[in-house]
Amino acid sequence: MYRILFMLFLIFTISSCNYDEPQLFDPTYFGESIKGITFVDETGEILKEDPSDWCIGTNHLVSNYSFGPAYPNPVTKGKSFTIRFSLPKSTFLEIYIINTKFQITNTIVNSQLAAGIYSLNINTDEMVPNIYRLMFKSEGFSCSGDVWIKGK
Amino acid sequence: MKKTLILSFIFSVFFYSQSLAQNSKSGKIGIGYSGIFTSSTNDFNLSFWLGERFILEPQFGFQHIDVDDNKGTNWKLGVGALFVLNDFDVTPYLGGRIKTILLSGGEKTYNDLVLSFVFGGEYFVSEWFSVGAEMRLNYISTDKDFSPAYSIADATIIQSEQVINIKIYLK
Repeated sequence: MYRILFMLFLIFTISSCNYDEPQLFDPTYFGESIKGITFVDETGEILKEDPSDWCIGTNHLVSNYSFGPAYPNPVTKGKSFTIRFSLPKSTFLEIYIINTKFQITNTIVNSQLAAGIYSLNINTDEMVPNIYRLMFKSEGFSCSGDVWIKGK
Repeated sequence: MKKTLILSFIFSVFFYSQSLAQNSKSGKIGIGYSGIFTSSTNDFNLSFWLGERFILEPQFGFQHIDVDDNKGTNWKLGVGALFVLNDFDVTPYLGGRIKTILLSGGEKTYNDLVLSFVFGGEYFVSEWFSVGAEMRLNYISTDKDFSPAYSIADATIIQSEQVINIKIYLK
């Protein structure tokens, strides 16, 4: 009897044990699998939209949160792409680039930022050609969008 | 590029100011504080009334930075050109400011550029003392490697800020 109780206790303890894998993003947070990208030219004009990507809202206004889209998308490896986002208030912001295996490949922002409209250049020199997901997470708002890094 | 922009702005403002006529407040020189005490925006100004409706304001400021591995003091140098709209006890003004933020810590030097369109007002409590408020619309270009002041690399930022000004006039 005691052995069974002990075994149950052991199973319960192991199953409730929570360990973090810092280089892996929570797959449930990753969202849906990548179905496509939002095609955007070098001027930022959207050519073909993937509705599951980005959070543009009506505009990039400092009164709203917004994120993306990245442009140009797709982008050739070695060139940089730009993302725009807006923060209505000072907030702790995290922006990560994640590959299709949920691994964080780049940490773009991980700090307290002031309110404003931001335009950020990201270099692709160190990125292997593939599709990546940009994760945007702040207090009370999160969003993601996919970027295709093409080979030269 | 940033240095060229700053130098050309300073020279154009200087030469323009030379052409302005001298009038009632013309010739006044003041020193002031500009900021909101609790924020990182804390600058000291010199105010030169180079004409009845024109103020030239060199700015100097500093800010202690402790972000990740970047520790040190941000030095801020800039200049403002302000055009007074109405010359009474309360003097509303429009203008522009240009400022460079430098952090030299360890092996690297970081450099941000801030361009501001400003609208404000200055109330002369007496001939020698004034208080004012200013709204700024800032366009910020951060260092390509990292900006300790704005915690982001290779970005442009558009943001607004409000500051108060306190000035003591020496002349």
